[in-house]
Amino acid sequence: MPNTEHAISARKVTKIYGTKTVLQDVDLTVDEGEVVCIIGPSGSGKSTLLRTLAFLAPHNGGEIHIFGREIGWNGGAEKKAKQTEKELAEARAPLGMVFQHFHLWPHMNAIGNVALALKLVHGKSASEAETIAFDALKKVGLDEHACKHPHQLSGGQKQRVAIARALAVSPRAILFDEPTSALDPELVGEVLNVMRALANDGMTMVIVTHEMGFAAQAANRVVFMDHGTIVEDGPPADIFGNPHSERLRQFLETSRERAI
Amino acid sequence: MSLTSADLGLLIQGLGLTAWMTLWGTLLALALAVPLAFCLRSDRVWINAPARVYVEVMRGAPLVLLLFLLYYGGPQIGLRLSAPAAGIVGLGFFGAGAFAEILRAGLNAVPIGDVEAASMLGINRLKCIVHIEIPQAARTVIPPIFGQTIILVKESAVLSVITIAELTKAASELATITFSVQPFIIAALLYWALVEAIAQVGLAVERHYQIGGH
Repeated sequence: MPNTEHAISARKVTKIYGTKTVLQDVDLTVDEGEVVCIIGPSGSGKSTLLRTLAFLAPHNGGEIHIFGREIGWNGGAEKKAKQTEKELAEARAPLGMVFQHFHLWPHMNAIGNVALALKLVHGKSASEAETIAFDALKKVGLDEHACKHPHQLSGGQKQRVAIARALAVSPRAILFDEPTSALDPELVGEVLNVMRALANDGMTMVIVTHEMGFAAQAANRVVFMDHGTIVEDGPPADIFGNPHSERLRQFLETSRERAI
Repeated sequence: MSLTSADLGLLIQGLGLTAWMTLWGTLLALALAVPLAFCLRSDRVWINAPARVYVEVMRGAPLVLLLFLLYYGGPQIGLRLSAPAAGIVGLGFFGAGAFAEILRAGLNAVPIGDVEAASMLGINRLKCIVHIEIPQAARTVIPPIFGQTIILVKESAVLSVITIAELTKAASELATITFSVQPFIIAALLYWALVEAIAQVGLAVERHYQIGGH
């Protein structure tokens, strides 16, 4: 049943690569304005789950609704009725995505990256698109670097341009796939600050991250995944202060050891 | 004996014809290679299999056989091409196989995440190809494309078998008349000059499109 209450609702989502089940009957809902961090060990399926929410990794079972509208398949994955390119684009429209490796287009400068979809998809004129793009860059503190190409920017700046690119088309929710994992430690802060500001503005965010400190401070909810399932799902105080499962306790212990 | 200026003129004409045939042959080859490369990358078998067969045949057969088939075999199935037309078509069909593989590799080198980023922003397949994949792939393929063009210049020597008076043909005719190897040496220098010119254009294009660390 499509649930119009939720920004994102995944029901019994299963993802199989070859013979390996990466996600097993995962249920996850995210409400509008919520900031949900997904944590867990490597290979636990957290990035795959995030990618299925945008149908970048098509799920093999279950169904996913984005603001009440099914994404990827019509009538659940089992019916195998894949959406057309246009249907999928419409279902995806409320979602923005920020990738671990930025994926800025190297042949365009920062403002070109941010403005492209405005011109190609949203019918803006070149000057309108650039005005909007410039505002988005300003929001992430990079207006002075608007004319630089990606190779002239640091990792943290690239990721902020990528966030501006996602923001410029006014998404209702943004998915972040390990946004700081490819960054030098001293550049992590500037990206997390931008994300914190977005969260404070009320943006709906789902963030796969290894930054436990950020998850503890900025998230409304933390989801712990292991072996393709959600093991615990709750407010950060509970997840970090009062873990129920042995698996989560172990995981938190190892990440704390690593942080020292 | 030394060559007269009229003899030299013949060789220069031959060079001109070689350059002309290769130019059109290369343009035809590139025009065919772009759709071929996309067919090769398609995940639908009925699209990628014929393209794969075409590429393998063109890479597996010598150009001279293709020219014989086009020029001498063509009329038997009602395809009458003039020698220059057969030469250009032959070079074009032959080069398309090699260019298609180069373009396919160039398109494959575009990070999948760059395409996913476009798709998340609602940019459709066609616009993504035009605005994101081709401009990036173009940079990767510039050096091998010019390298393959140089190979085509040299392959074009076999156009002599279908009576085209390109550089090699002109040189061998002069050599027969003058009982000298001089025409071959001059022809070799002229080939080198043409190839070097193409290589320099290639480098200039590469430099023009270079983006920093890429």
